[in-house]
Amino acid sequence: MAENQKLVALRLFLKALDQPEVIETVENRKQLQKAVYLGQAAGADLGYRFSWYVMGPYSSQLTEDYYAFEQTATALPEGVELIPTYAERLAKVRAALRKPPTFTRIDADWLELLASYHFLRKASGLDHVSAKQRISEQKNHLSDYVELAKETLNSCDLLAVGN
Amino acid sequence: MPDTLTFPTWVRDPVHGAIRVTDLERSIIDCAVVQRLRRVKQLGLACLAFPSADYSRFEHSLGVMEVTGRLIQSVNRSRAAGNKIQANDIQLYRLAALLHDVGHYPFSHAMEDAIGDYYGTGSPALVSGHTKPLDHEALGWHLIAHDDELSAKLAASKIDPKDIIGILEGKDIKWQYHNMVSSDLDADRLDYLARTSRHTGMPYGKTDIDYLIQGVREDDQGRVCFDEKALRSIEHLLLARFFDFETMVRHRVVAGTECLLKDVIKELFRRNDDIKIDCSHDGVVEMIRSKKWPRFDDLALMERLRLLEERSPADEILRAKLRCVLHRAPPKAAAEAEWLTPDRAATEEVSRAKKELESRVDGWATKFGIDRRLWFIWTPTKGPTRFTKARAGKDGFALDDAETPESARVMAVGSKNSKAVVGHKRSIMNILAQHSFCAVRVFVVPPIGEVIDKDRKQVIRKQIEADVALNWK
Repeated sequence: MAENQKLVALRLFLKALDQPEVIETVENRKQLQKAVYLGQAAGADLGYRFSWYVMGPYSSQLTEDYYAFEQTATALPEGVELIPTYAERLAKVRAALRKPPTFTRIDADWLELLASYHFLRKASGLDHVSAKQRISEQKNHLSDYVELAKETLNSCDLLAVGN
Repeated sequence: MPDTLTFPTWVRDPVHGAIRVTDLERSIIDCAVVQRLRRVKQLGLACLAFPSADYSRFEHSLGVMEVTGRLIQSVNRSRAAGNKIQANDIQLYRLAALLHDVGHYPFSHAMEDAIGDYYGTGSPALVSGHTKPLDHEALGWHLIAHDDELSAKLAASKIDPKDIIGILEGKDIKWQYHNMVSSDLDADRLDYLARTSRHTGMPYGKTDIDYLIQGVREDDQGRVCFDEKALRSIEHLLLARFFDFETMVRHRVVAGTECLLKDVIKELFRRNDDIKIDCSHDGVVEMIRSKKWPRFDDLALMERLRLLEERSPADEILRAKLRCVLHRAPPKAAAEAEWLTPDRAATEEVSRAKKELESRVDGWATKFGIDRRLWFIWTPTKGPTRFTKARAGKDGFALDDAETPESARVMAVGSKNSKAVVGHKRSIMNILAQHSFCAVRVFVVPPIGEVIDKDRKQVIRKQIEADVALNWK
C-alpha cells in the first residue's frame, strides 16, 4: 500500500508539472528524472535522493519507481490529490520547465541544464563561476545557455537562500 | 591536515590481515555511536542458520574504510605526479567509509522495514503533516551532523561533517567516486562478500580483492573502474552476491524468522508502557539528542522482546511469534515456489502470486485448524532478486550508459573509455541483468503447544500446491 501511494504521488507530481509519464527513450527518462529533481527542489519532496552523474542529478530509486509504474500501469485512483502545499510549489516552477524559445535544443536538454546548474549550486555548494565552468567541461553542448538557466531558476526562487 | 596520511595504529583483521588507522580515525572509532556498531550484527538473524555469521557492523565498517583507502591508493598510482589525490581528500573518503553504516538500527534491515511499515505508510505528497521515518542512510547523515561527540572530534580536525555526508549522498562532485561507495562492486560489497564468506563458511565471495584493487583506475569521466582483465573476477563477485543472498539472507529459517521479528518489533511500537520504542522520525531524533542512541543496539532490542514475552502470557499468537525469534523455533515453510523471469515482468508476477496465495489462506487455516494469524505469505522485501543493482535490457528498455551509475565498470589497458559491466557484450551480466529471480513462500508458525512435523507439513504443502499453480520447489 505504501509503495502504491508512492507511485500514485509520483504520477500526480508529474501531472502537476505537465510532464509526460513516457519512459521509452533515454531522453524521455532524462526529462522525467530532471523534472522530479526540480519539483523536489521547489519543496515538494517525494523522498528521492539524487547524486551527481553523467547527465547531472540522477536517482536510482526513481528509476526503480518508473519501472514499477510501467509494470503495473494502473489508473490513478479517483479523489486522490496532491496536498495543496505541494500543488502550489509545483505550480510555481511548472512554467520554468518549459523550454524557452531561445533554447534551441530539445526539452530534455533544457531540464538537464536547469537541474545540473541547480545541483551544482545548491547541493554541491559551487558559486556561479565554478558551476558554469563545470558545465562547460562536462556538458559543452549546454554551456551557451547557463546564464539563461540561472535567470530562469532565479525567476521561480529556486536559487534563493534556504531553498 | 598533513600532506600524507600516517597510520600509527594497526588493527588485526581476519579478512584484510591488518587495517591501518590514522589518529583521527582512531578518535572517531572511539566515539560512542561508532562503538555501538560492535553490538549491531551485520547479518541480523543469519546466525540462526549459520552459527558463525555473527560478525558486527563495527568490523565491517573498519574493513570498508581499509578497502576504500586501498582503492584510492590504486587510483593515485595511475595519476601523474602533481595530479595526485591529496591526503585531506583521502581522509574524507576513508571517514565516509568508516561511518557509512553508523545509522543502522538494531537488527538492521529487519527493524528498518518494520519502521517503514509502521510509521512510513502514506506519502507526504498525499497526506498533510506526514513525516517519513529515517532510513539508515538518512539517520547516519543526521548522526554525522548532530552527534555532539562525533562532530566535536571532526571540528577539532577542521573537518566539516557536510563534506563526509556529501560523499555518502553522492553530492561531492570534486571526484566522481560515488560508485566507490555505492555500486554493484563498491568498497562496501568487496568487504561484505569476503567477510561473510569467511564467517559463514560459504565459498561465495572468495575472490582476490587485492587483484581487483590493484587494477583500479579512472576513466575519462573520472569514474572509478576496474581493469578489463578482471572481468571474470567481477562476474564472480556479482554471482557470489546472488548466491550469498539466496543461500543465506533468504534462507527459509532466516527470512521466515525475520518476518516474525518485524511483527514483534511493531508490537513494541504499539505499546504504551516502559518497553515501548518510538522510532518515528521525531522519536529517533530525540533519542540522538538525549544521547540514548548508543544504547539502542541488538542487545537492547532482544531484552525488550524478552520482557514483551513475559508480559504477554495470554496472547498465544504473539507468544508463538516471539518463541520463533527468541528461542529459535522457526516458522515452517509449508510451500516454496521459485522462478527466473525477465526483469521487467518480475515485480508484477510476484505480486500476482502473493495475492493469489493470500486469497486462499483463510481456507487453509480453517482446513488445517491453525489460526489465520499464524500464516503469512513471504515475498522478498526489496522485490525479486536481481543479479546487479544496475539494470540492463534489450527489449525496449535498454538503459543508456548514463543511466547505470551503479554498474561496476571495466576499462582496457591504454583506453580512456570504460564500459558498464551490465552492458558489456563479453559479460554474462549483460544477459543475467535482464532477469530477476522470483520467490514466494507460504509460512506457518507452529501454535503454542503444537508441533508441525514433517507429515503434517507435507499434507499442508500438497493442498497448497494443488490449489495454486506456481513453480513449486
